[in-house]
Amino acid sequence: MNLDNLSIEIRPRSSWKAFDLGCRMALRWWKSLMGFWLAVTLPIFVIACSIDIVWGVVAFWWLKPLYERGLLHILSRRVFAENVTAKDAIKAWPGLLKKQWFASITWRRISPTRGFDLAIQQLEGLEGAERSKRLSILHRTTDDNTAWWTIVCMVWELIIILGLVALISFVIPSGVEFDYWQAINSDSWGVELTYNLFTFLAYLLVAPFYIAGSFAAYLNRRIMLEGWDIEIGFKRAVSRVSKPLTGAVTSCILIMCCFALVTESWADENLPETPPAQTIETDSAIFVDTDPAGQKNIEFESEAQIKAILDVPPFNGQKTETDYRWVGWGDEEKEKEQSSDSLPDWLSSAIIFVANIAEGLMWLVFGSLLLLLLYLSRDHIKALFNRPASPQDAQELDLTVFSQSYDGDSLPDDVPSELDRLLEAKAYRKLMSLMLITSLLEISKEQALPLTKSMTERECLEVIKKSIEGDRREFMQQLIDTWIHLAWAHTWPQKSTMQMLCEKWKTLFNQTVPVT
Amino acid sequence: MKIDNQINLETAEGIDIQLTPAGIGVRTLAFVYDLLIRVVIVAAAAIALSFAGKMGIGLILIVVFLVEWFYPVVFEITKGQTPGKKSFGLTVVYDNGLPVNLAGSLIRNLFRAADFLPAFYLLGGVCMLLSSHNKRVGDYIGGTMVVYKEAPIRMSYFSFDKQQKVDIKLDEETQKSVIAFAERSKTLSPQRQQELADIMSPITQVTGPEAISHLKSIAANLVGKT
Repeated sequence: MNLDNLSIEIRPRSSWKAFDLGCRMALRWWKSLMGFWLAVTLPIFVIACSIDIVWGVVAFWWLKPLYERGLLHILSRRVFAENVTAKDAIKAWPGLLKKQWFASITWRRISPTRGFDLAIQQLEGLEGAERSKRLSILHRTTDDNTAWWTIVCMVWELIIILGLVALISFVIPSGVEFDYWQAINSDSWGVELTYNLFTFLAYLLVAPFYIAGSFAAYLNRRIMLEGWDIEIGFKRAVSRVSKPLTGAVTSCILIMCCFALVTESWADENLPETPPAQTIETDSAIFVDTDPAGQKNIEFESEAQIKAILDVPPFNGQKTETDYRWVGWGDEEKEKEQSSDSLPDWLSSAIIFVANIAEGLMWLVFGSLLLLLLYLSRDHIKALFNRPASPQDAQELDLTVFSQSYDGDSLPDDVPSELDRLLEAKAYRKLMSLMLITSLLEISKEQALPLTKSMTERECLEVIKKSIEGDRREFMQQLIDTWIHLAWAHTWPQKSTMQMLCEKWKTLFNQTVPVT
Repeated sequence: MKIDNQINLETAEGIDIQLTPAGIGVRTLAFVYDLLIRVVIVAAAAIALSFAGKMGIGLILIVVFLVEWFYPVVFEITKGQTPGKKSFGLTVVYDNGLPVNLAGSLIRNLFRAADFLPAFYLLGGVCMLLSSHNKRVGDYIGGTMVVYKEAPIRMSYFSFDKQQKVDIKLDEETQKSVIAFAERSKTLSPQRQQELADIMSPITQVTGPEAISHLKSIAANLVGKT
């Protein structure tokens, strides 16, 4: 066993990392692994299925440990850089079956650690007590997840089968009824065969990963127990020390190069500071570096040296990464050329002209639509800035119409006597109504009252108060207050209050004749 | 190139940070762990809310929605790992090794729906297996990956027989190997220790049974235990 040509990176790992490494191994060598699996299992599968559609696949499953030996054969050789192809493995496979084949397909078949244990059986060739002793050593760790790895792989086999069934249900046209349960339970020949094919596919996809993961876990245990990484480290250290001569020589050369470079550049920099030297032509030694050709040589050499340094680790960090991006069908350019070729110049310019106009029109339409939208939503916008919308039903009150609301007809000609009559009759509501209407009419003769139909008494009073001053203002206040008490609170006013109001009205408004 | 599952992330300062992306096996089990927790949460909510009639059914559906979509997000952005990942020592990071935040976590978990296709995360599993950094579809879109959270390096402990001052110059790689030898000598058989120590005899100039303790002394010197 030569650890120098291992094709995997040797490092103590946790068991899960070892399984991941196994997956990488299976991916790297997938051609030989899957090639072997297909070549060996496909004929067996076909024969088994043709004998019995149900029990054939069970038998195929039961014999799986035997095919897995071939995978392990490939992996164990590949890890030590021995290039085993699928063909070589197929040739070697019958020989691999001889050892303990009966145990593998009987009592060890259902062992959850069979992938891991296969390495001890096949690669180390141990039997009986020796084998179990060895196994107990390899399994004696808190980080033994080989059984879990078997379970995970079984789960993924199941997921592949179910996933393929689901995929079929995806591509079934929507008109066709597809009953999963019926599909699973059906024992028709076609359904059975489909399931068998899915099972075969699942084993084909999972088995290489399962065996590679188990084998990687086995290698990892041995790395831990035998210190493979330490051995490799020690061997490298010794080989570095045993070749000190070459190392010394190269380092000497490197150092000399550096020194040469430094002295030359130093001379170069100092040159301008020694102008007297130029006058002394005999001292040619100083002028060696001023020779332009020589200088160029130095530059060239230093460039080469820099390049040489950049070409070795850790500076040679160039790597090529390939990724795929959609860049179109690739014939768009061609189409463009064709279209420009096929159209005459005047036509294309006309098209462009029409297109420009159309574009202008479209912008116009867009702009007017935008304005229309703004106009239609002006109230919403106002509301957005917290301004109350202007009242839409603010109908101006027509006072001449208002005057007819008294008694359904027109106002009496002699208002003061009418007032007295009503006061005697104790018709206070009518009295108040008359006073309110006449006083409002009087005030509106002198000043415009912006009253609206929707106003309440208090709002009216506010408006009136703004328009008039003095006694009239006080009177209107009293009048409307009393009116509110009478009309809405049904408090019958005192006779004295009514008399007082009548007197006041007579003094304030009586000098003019009411409208006819 | 040798097969390895560890990746080096080079920082702007030219320092390599080693990370190991977590593969399909451990992530499957971590997912199952989280799934069980989610099922328990939903079941508990369903039992508690089943007394609330039709509104209870509505609330149960809301709980199912929240747990399905935001259970991983909440844990990943607060702790960097869901309970399932924590139990297997995994953590979610961005491609450059930085801890994941809301954007990355949300994207990778929303696109779990794509990974689920056509059934039971088949696409996600295949994608993870073929990806060099074990990424599923959501990880590719979110620019994230799941890596092993390395346990902090503990102070090395090992026993050695004789204290002796050894003056020997070793390069860095060899130093690491010698210390690893001393630390792991408990798990190595005596014969194997002898074999390994003999390899180093051209450097240490010590042969025979002495070589093992000599190497351990060197290691003790290196870690400052003289």
